[in-house]
Amino acid sequence: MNTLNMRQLRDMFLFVARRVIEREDFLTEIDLKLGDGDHGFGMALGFKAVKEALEGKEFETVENLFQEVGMTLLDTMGGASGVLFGTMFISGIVGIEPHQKADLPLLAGIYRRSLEALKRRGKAQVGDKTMVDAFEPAVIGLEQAVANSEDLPKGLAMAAECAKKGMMHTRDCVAKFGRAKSYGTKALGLQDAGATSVWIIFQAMSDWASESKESE
Amino acid sequence: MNKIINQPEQMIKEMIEGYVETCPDLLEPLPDYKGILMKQKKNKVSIVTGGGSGNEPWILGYVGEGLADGAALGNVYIAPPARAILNVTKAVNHEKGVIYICTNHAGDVLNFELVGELAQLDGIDTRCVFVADDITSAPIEKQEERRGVAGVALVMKVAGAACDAGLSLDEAVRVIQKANRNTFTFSVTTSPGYLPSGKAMCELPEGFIEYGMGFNGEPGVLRTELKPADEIADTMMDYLLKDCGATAGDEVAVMVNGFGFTSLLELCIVNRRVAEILKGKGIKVHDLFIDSLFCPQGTGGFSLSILKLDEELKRYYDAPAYSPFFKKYN
Repeated sequence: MNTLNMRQLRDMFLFVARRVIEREDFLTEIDLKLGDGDHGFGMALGFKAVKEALEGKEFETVENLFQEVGMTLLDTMGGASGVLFGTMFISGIVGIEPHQKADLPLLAGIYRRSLEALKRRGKAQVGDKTMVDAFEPAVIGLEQAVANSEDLPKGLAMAAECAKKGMMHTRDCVAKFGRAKSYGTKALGLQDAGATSVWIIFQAMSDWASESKESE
Repeated sequence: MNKIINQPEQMIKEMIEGYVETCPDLLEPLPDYKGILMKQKKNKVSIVTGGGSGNEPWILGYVGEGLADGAALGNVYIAPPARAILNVTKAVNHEKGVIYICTNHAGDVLNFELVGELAQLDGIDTRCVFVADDITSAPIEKQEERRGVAGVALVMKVAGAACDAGLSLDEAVRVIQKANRNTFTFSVTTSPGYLPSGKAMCELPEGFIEYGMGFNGEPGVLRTELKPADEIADTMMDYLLKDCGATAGDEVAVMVNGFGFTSLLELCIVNRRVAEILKGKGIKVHDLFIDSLFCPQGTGGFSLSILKLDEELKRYYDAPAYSPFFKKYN
């Protein structure tokens, strides 16, 4: 499996949406230790709306689908996290020609551009204990898979694995932003909720692709 | 502090509705979201502004003749939602492009940048200018990291005129950025403002004043006992002139911006001293005016903004601007 048609791509993001909704309590628990405790609720709210927006709907292009996911998150999550997770799906598709199929190089390119927009916009780097800590490794994982000509499930698995490492690394970092910043070194040992959400998203993409490959 | 509102969650919507009633021929509310539009959709590069409410007339009053074409408003001190900015963008004349002007605050920057991309997906060309005039928030070497405060009034005035003059998108942005890089603001707070909830925005004991405090009560650069007006003006002009580097022969426009609680009686006394200092240094005063165009919830105190002018900026600065809350004619 090296390319996803529009229906497969939609199904993958529906799977992602269900997974995020399932993990609401887990995210809330993580966020309560360092943040407002509202991250799990916000993510679940956003992806419940994504599920509704995608279910039974046909999309013409990869870019239309990404835009729908991003706009839905932006509108329903609101505030800074709405913009940041909206950026994850919107900024990568700006200014590119539409595609009817998604392969690994396309996904790597979209997420690379989103990552760069996110870093510029949020002024965050790896090590600041934010979603970038999981997102950047995930993108690098995708790019390595492209360089090694891996198939799509393997590439998404590499991205998920790298995102997880990045998420675990946030436990060793002191926050530079948000409420977690005021905890200073007391935040050591605790992981960032935004990075955790990014890992959940990539892990879900990977799990969907592996399961679909087996059933082929 | 007693505040006159209905329900807190309705107050921004109701503020917009009430304001538009004062000038139904000039302005209209944005349907479904908190925003305001010029009725006339001029065929030119449009300006869209926005930000958190709470510093009126900033935002609300900045849509008008020779000013912005539309604005998206957030709740008090909260950035407007991206969808509201996008809808304003689509509602103004966007054929020749749209320039976003907002003050440099993280939430606003996030939203406006992303909306710029969303607009691009809809085929609308946009540019962002983040006003960064508060000299206490970052050193001059990192000028673009400064917060945006009252100087946005001066930048907006130049911007409105530049777009009205028919400049192209990129030319207008160049002029507006030039105004932005030449605008410098310094403030003194003499008593706290109060949020619509009635909560004080900062702690400031009676008899003390603080220079450079952020409008949400972020700590300033210097706290002293209350001094005579001339001494306060001296301190502020000292900081400002050092930072902006204006010297004899330079030409400036200066705004004395009251925060809402400080009276015109006091502001005129300050202005007297500001004029003396500028004359004493041989700096040419193109314009010196007193107004309240950026008022953090009736805070006590004021800010001084200096715009260093050249011939090009002067031409746009001198164009008239009008809204019910922002009237400027030279």
